[in-house]
Amino acid sequence: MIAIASAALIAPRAEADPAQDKDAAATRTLVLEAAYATIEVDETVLARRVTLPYHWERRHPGFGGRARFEADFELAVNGTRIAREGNLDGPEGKNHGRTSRMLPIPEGLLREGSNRVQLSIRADSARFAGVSALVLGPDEAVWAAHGLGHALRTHLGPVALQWSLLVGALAFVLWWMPVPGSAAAAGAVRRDPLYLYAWAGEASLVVRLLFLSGDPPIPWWAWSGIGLAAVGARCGFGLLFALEVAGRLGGATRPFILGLPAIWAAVGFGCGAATAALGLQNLAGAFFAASSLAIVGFAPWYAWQARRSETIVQPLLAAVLCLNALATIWDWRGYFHGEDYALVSMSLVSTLLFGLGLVVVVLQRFRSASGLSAELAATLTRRIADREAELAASYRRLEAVAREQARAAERARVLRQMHDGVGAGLAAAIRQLRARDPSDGVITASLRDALDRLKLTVDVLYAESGDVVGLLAGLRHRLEQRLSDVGLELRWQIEALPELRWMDDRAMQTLQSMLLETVSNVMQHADARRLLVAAGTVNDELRVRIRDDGRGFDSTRIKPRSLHAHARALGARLTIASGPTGTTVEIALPLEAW
Amino acid sequence: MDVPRPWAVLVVEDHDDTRAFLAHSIETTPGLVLAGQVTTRAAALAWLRDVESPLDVILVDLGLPDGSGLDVIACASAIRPDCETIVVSVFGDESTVIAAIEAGAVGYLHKDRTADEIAEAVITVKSGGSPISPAMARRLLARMRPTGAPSETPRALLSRRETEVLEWLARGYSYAEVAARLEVSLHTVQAHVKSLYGKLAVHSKNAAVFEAMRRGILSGPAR
Repeated sequence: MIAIASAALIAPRAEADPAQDKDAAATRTLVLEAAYATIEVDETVLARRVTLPYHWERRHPGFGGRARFEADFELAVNGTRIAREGNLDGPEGKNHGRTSRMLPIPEGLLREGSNRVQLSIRADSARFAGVSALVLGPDEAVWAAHGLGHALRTHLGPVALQWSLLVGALAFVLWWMPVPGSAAAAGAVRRDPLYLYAWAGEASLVVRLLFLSGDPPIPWWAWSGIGLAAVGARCGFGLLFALEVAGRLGGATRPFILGLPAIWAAVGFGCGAATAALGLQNLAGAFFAASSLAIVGFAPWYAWQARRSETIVQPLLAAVLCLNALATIWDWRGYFHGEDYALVSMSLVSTLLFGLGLVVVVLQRFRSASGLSAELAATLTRRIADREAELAASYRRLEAVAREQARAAERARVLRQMHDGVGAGLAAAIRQLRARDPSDGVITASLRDALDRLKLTVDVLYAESGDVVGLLAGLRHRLEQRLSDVGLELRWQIEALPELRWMDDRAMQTLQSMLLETVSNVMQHADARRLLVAAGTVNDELRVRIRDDGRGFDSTRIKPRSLHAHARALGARLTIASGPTGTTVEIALPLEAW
Repeated sequence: MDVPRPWAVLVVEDHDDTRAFLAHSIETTPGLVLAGQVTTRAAALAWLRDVESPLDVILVDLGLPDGSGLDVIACASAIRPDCETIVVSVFGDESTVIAAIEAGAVGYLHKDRTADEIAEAVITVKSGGSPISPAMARRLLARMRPTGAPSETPRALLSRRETEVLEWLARGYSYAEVAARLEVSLHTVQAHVKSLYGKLAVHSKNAAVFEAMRRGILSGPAR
């Protein structure tokens, strides 16, 4: 709490010298660095010449009092008060000296020769107090020398306050909005703590700024305590914000780190209250020093960690922190060693940059979220396309299976009818005939033949297309009994043969008819003892050979017409050779379709 | 010397003529005795559950008026493990017979056989022989041998010998011819086929799943 004042004086224009003097007078300022002071401290009155600036808290640490400074200068204001602020009589008033004062001196007040300016201050023990050197001179000159600092000093506070309110509001809204997607999940809505720290930091700064100036409505120690607590909270939340951005708020130390702002604020409150209540001037100073040290120590470490960051946010925050650290050091120099308290607080400026950091964080997150959502949309589109293709393939397979099932169901239905109807009837008829005549008569033989053909038809239904071996094997299975009844000894030489894919159901049936006819001929006409059935591949053909050792026939004169017709329909080569020692029938089928 | 007890046979057939014929075949064969004859599925199940007398063979027609003979076969496998089931069929077509074997049957008979042939078939089956048609052998090979589909288990269900026997049978060779080629006894070949039937019954459910996967109806484990 600094009370300083400087007085600015206007050179009276009326008494301006001609040209040169006027210019000189218009640009020159007077700096009064000595004054006669009457100081009342603790019921003691001191009167002496002092140099300006006069730092009360350094000359009379821990004491309050009053002082009057009188300085003489050539152009003077005489006895007429030109400005007054505050209450010289009572303690705990407003801080009126927080900024420099530019006090215009009315023309009529100055007179030629000796003038005297008188400045009275009230100093309270727990505050900074004193008087800086007085700067006198023409308006423009004074402004040129000190105007900027004055303006900044005057206006920085309100601007900082507005900026912090804005950033704080932004941070609060960002925090209140739940993390995208978390509302859909079961359980509590998730909020991003990063924005909470930012809001808390800005709120602490707002409190600090409000508690620096104004009329304390509460006891001074509480006011001071809250002010310093806000400083501590601001530092603590700033650290949390920086750590959260760096992603280093995990692990075992997390609960301690989260409590940092509270601890810092509590310590600040204690120092502030103690300073105000007990007059421990240096306690507040020590708190500031410690807080500054923490920032100064943290900033380089954070900058070092940020070197590996992928985004711009962390390095930017590191830069802000380092600026803060530098500003803190600059302010130390100013406060503890500087002459003039009219300095702009650089820490205040640099701390406002945190708001900038928040904006950058938000922008960067928006950008990455946009990129991510575009990527997700592309992935989703691709996945959907894949699934659709899978689905289409599945449907095709299902269709194929359904068709096959329909075919199988149809086949089963037909078989059921044949089984229960025709087949059972034929079997019953055969049985009844045999009951009367145990040896197979002509009718019985015909019926058996009919039943066998029915069974062979059923076999073809189940056969794989082109499975000639299966056809031959099935034929043997069905006819074996009859062959042994006739006394034929069967020799079986069937190799493992490939399936002839070009043969469809009709071709299979035709082949079966040819084979059945051939074997039937042997059974009925050949009067043979042995029957050879062989099948194998020769060159590009599958050859089936049926040979018996029966009577034979004159193959030049008798041509089995149906056999030849079937062979032509099948596209097979039929060779029949017959003589008195037996007959050979060979059917040659191409392995591949033409 | 011990006179072996004649084998008791239950006949399940709804067609009167056929049933009478089967019963007659059993009764006129020494070594076989008719334990009972029923005409419906319900009656067959009741007989299996309630009648205490011993049973060695069941002859079952699959087409019963109140249901499928497959249920009778399954019930017999469950509660009368010493009993052999033979399915009676007109054609002996492979689908019918395989379904019966999956349910637990050990063989099949053609209805149009003579009485002697029927009795002989029953005795053959009871003595360990398991008739198999070439078509059935082919079907069994396709079903139980690994086909190289991506999601099937590498372990083959058939032993090498069993596969060999099936391959010869599928080509139409008789049991005797197969025994001669493999240089084993006829009984050994029959035993191989019988053990095949047992595996088929046990693994029929697995095979159905495998078949479905092969056709792509079921998909394999999620990627």
